[in-house]
Amino acid sequence: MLGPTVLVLLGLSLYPTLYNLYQSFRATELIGPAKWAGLDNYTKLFHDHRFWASAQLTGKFMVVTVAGTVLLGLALAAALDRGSERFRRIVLPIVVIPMAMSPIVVGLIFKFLYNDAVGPINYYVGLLGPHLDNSFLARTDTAIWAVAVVDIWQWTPFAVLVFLAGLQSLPRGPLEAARIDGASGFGTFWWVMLPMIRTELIVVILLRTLDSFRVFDVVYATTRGGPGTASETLSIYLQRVAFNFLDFGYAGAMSIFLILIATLLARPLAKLLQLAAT
Amino acid sequence: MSSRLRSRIAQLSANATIAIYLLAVLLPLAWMALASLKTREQVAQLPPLLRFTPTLDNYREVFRESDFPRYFMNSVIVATSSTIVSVLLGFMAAYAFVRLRRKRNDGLLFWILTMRMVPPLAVLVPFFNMMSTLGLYDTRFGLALVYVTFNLPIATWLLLGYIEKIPKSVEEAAMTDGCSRLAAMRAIVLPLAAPGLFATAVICLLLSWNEFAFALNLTGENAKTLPVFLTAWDTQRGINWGPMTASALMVVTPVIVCAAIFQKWLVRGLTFGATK
Amino acid sequence: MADVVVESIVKRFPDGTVAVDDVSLAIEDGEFFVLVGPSGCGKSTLLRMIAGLEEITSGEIRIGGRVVNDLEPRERDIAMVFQDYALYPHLNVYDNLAFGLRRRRTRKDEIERRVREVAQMLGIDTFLHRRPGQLSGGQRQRVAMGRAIVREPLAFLMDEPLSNLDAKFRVQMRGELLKLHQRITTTTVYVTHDQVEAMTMGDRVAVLRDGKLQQIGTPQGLYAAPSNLFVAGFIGSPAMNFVEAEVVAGEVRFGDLSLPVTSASLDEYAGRRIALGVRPEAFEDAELVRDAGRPQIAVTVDLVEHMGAETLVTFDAGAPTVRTDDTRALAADLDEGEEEVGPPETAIFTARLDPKTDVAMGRSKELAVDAEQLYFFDLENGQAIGEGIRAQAVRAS
Repeated sequence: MLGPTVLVLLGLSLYPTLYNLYQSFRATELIGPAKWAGLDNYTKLFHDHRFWASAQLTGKFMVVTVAGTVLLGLALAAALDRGSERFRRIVLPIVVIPMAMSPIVVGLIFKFLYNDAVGPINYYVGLLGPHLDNSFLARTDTAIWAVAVVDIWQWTPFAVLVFLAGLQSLPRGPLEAARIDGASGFGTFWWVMLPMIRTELIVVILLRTLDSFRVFDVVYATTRGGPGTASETLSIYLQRVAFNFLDFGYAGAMSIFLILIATLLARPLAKLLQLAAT
Repeated sequence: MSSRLRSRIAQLSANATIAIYLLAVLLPLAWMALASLKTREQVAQLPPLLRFTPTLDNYREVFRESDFPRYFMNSVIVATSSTIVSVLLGFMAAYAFVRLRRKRNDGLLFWILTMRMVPPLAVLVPFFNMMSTLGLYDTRFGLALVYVTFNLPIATWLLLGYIEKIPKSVEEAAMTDGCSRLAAMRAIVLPLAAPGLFATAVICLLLSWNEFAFALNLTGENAKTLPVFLTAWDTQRGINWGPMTASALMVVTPVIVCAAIFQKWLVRGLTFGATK
Repeated sequence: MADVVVESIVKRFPDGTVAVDDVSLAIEDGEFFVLVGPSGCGKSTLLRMIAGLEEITSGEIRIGGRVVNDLEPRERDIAMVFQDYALYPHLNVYDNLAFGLRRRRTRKDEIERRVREVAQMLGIDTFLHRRPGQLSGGQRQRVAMGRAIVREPLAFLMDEPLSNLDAKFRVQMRGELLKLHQRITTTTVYVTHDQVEAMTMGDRVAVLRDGKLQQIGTPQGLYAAPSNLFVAGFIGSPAMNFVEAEVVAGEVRFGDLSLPVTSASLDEYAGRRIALGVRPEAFEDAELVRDAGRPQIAVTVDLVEHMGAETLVTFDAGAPTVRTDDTRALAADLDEGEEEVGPPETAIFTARLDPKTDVAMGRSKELAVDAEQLYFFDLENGQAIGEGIRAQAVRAS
């Protein structure tokens, strides 16, 4: 019974890794047949400024989106937790919408909203100060942050719903005890409720970290990594190396590197989910 | 300030926060919906035009200018077929795990999760190579096969949670009552796991429907799915906003309806069952 | 209906633990047979092997003369009642009862007739269309019974079917189950960890410990003539008192106390230490005993518990408690399972006295002892001493 699944997973997971490994030791320039290249692709990786710049950019993107998502999620979940059950029943189906949408659609909508000719964001910010150049997606210094806002918009609902589920399942006893002990509303939240939903907190942080580490769709839909390389995340750069520059060998080395990091990040998550599930 | 008044204020500010948030969620969607009903000139007007005669021209243009129905069918076929295969194999694997082993295997879980976490781009070149070699490039079958790789781990893990909740003794009762192990699985486990199977299928459908990176690089014109089609409106010469928003709306509407209905399952699924 | 024969059955799990160690039983047709023992003694594993849910490592099981070792559970024609009832949650009560019959392709009107009949018999006919989730614990228990009965199998296998009920209801169900068994007389193998349940229900009882069979017998037989320390301590409530005693010249001595005995089998233990067992009910207030010939001991009362129908008195026997594997197993079963440290404690005795007795804590009291209820065990192996097991006491003068 386990057979087919193991076979499929084995075939489809081992194969890419092995193939990547194989390719990463070959030189696959545009012209001429592929040659054995030893560790060339890996040394190239270490000296490739563009790669490290995109790694740095991805790192910043991860920190900002995860922090934004978690903080907004906490605030909104706390607010919803105070509301009535009826209120939640109306609100939650709306809250869930962004996370169900394709990141491509979300990206394209925001590209529209940000647009300097027809977009309302640009228009209303322009009303505040006409001297501002506020085509945020088109400026090299703001592009990645404009994309981060889109990502936060899409995934805040996820944090809200997970945190809310955690808050709702809290036993009332400790909360009332904290009240009696003289904690304020915020004090109760910070010192009692937050520690009690730490599993939910960690699950959200880890899952969002992993997902923004591999972010591709939303960047592709909004900026395609541009302008220039201003919003070029690791996945976008890898896409360019593989399918624009057709340098499969170098792409293989990069892939191995990314798989390694994803595996390292997945470790604590696996531990945690194991605990949460039992 | 009386405590009554204070709690009233807290309540109000909480509701106001949520109201503002709902606006932030709904405004972009409303903007898209409105744009899809406007003419090209009206879309470009700022401040935004709120009173206008809606037109379905953009929707007509989508169907006239593109193969929208075909891309739609591609998406439907790829998503459903990969979902069915994943849920079926996942169910069998999860059942085997829960019943035929004494302890839960940490290693496999880690592996399953890792597969879900690896950037799609990092495995794209190998899959591209495999699909080309096997003649599966730009086929719905090939794409569905690749989708199984990310759906199957999730399906297995989610179903594990559901099957574990079915007491072993119920199955044993069926076996003493005259069922073989396989018959007991069909008569008892399958119906009891049905909600889990359904919830898992919803997650798989959603993930496949929205998937982009694989579809972008593993299909050409023939097996192109909706997300890839949508990016085609974004050309060198700019975007034709009307038809773009019209087709985007058609892509997300089924998903939004689904998500609103199955909201609880969605969260559970996307957190790998960590929330109840 | 059929007899169930278990012959030299062994169950060894893949990790090497032996759950059932060479157990043989011959359960007669129509018998209500109880397997009893502390948790982890292998009784459930044994039952599951009879059911076919656990593979047999070695040995043979026959149901109605047919060797069933290699048969699937469904081919053995037995019905099982599970501790958690294991009702099919997605089926209503009627379908739960009919499930097994449908599997056996019974005719539809026959199913209908049998289900209705059994439902009526158990008083569950008013909620045939409810699902298990909507039933109370007691109702579920009845449905579980009904599901077994309706099948009319060769034998019922019951795995602690009453342990999930609250105490009061459990006693009531015990009676109902017995009446039911009298009516349908199907061979029943009943597993429990509760010795009271075993004693009140079983035609015969088998006591298991650590996968090994300790003794088989009628409830009265086990109570009157336990074959070793473990059975003696396990059967009876309050439990038998044990103390280390010395055999000296026709007496057993412990602390300042001594009881006269004459038993040929005790002769070989002369000058040696043995385990003396005294049932709580062997004591009586000396003032209330007509028979002045009984041996008496003077004790200082530690604790008095008035139960209404009886009075329990606790006192210090003034001699070491018995520490063997058997008593440790018994202590573990009572959840007092901490290992002792330091020198052995003295034995605390419980006496079960007539409620008319006049006792108070801290006062001394003369107790008469029924010498017929004294038991002697070898300290080395825990075996009862003596052919007839029961030692004969001599009346003191």
